[in-house]
Amino acid sequence: MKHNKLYDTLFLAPGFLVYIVFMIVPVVMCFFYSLTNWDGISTTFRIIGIKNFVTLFHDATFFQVLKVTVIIMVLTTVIYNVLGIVLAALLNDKGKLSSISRSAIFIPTVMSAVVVAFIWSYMIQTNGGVINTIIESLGGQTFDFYQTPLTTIFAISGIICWNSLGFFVVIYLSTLSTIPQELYEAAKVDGAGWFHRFRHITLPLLAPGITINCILAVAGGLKQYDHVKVITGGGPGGATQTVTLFSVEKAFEYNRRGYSSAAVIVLLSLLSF
Amino acid sequence: MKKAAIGNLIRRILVLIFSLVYLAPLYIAVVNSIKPYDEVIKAPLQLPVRITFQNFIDAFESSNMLALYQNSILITGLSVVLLILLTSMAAFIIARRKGKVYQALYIFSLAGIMIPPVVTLIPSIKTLSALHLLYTMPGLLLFYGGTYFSTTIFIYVGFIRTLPVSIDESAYIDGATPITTFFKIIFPLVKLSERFPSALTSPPTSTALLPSLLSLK
Repeated sequence: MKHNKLYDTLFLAPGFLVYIVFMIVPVVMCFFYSLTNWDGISTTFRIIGIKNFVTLFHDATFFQVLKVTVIIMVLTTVIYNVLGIVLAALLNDKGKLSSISRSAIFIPTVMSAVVVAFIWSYMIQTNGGVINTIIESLGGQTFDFYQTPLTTIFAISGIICWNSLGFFVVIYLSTLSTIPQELYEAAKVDGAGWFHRFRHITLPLLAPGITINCILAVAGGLKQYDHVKVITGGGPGGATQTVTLFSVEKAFEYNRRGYSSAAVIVLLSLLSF
Repeated sequence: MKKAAIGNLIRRILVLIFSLVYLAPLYIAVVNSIKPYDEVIKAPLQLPVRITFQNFIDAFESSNMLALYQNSILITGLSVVLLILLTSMAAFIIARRKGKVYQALYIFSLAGIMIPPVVTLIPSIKTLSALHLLYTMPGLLLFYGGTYFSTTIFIYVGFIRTLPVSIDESAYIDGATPITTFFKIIFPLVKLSERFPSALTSPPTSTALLPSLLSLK
């Protein structure tokens, strides 16, 4: 087949134009701002070199927010992949129950993160929250999810996972459907139990799906903003703040755009590893 | 045989539990929205004894709800249409052509997955105001288009690569230009794919960033 270069350009140009103007150019500009003392309002600013980064690495708050972000990233990545594989393996048939629960699990993915965070922040309340009502009616002790910053971070990670697990399950399901059934039948004939079939056939052949999902989960975890903003707003005292929240706060409340740009550049270099 | 039946039962029970975990919060949200406030506090899990639509009336009276919904639907709808058109066209070329240039373009377009929207948020305001598009609908749509380009192209290239090339070839033999091939054959297939909903989910999920983008000088 002969390819016309003109058509290729015609198809590629609009998308890449938007992508470059609204993605690549801003990233380059962000690098530039991180080297200045721009406050976001004034028209003049000076280039101050790496001073922003030096201040950043002497800022205890920044290490705190970095720690929170990494905890959320690790927790969500583990939950997404472990639960995702288990659920995909459970749901991988053509039964009616499976198809209903497949849609049930996918519903939250379509919902706005803000709505999900609102519903769940009411559910995990200590007084009158649904989860604590259930625990009480079963005769248990009420559990305060806002007890320590760590429990709050765990709760937030759980909510994030509840929200977008469906997306990861869908990717695993589509990878599972590429595995030929003959392999399972052959293993069955050879006398392999379900665990051996899972361990030696499903897992190795799921590898491409696992790679994709890990990349998406790590990137998504480090970029976390919406849920934390709605549930705790970063509080108390910045104890559950993530890097993205930190940077938005510095940029818009303290008018330190240069400093805030430096913070996200650090996050970006973390992500590119 | 009996062992397999028990295994299947356990599997069904696990699936049921997971579905309940997923459906319960939605049930609670719906049920509590039609209950009076004292019942919500006393028994959040029960079905309503007295059904009331007072909550909805209050919500619509206290804020300009209709206008808010209009904005959300308009922004989501238009940005999804723009995004699908832009990315499926680019994905078609990237998925179908072989060569280093196209591979490089693919990797270049995927780089955006790693970039948090916060990075581009502040400089985007500068870019938009330079183009006289700040505080306008087209500006916002283009911002979304740029932000979600990478994720969407990732999904579309993966899907278009699963479509057989022979479709394209037979269209070519019948004298179709790439434009006809794309809009008459590839685009309808992409539209019908189950990955369409995943493309739909992208834009509304980060509406939390919206206020910061619009309330700036």
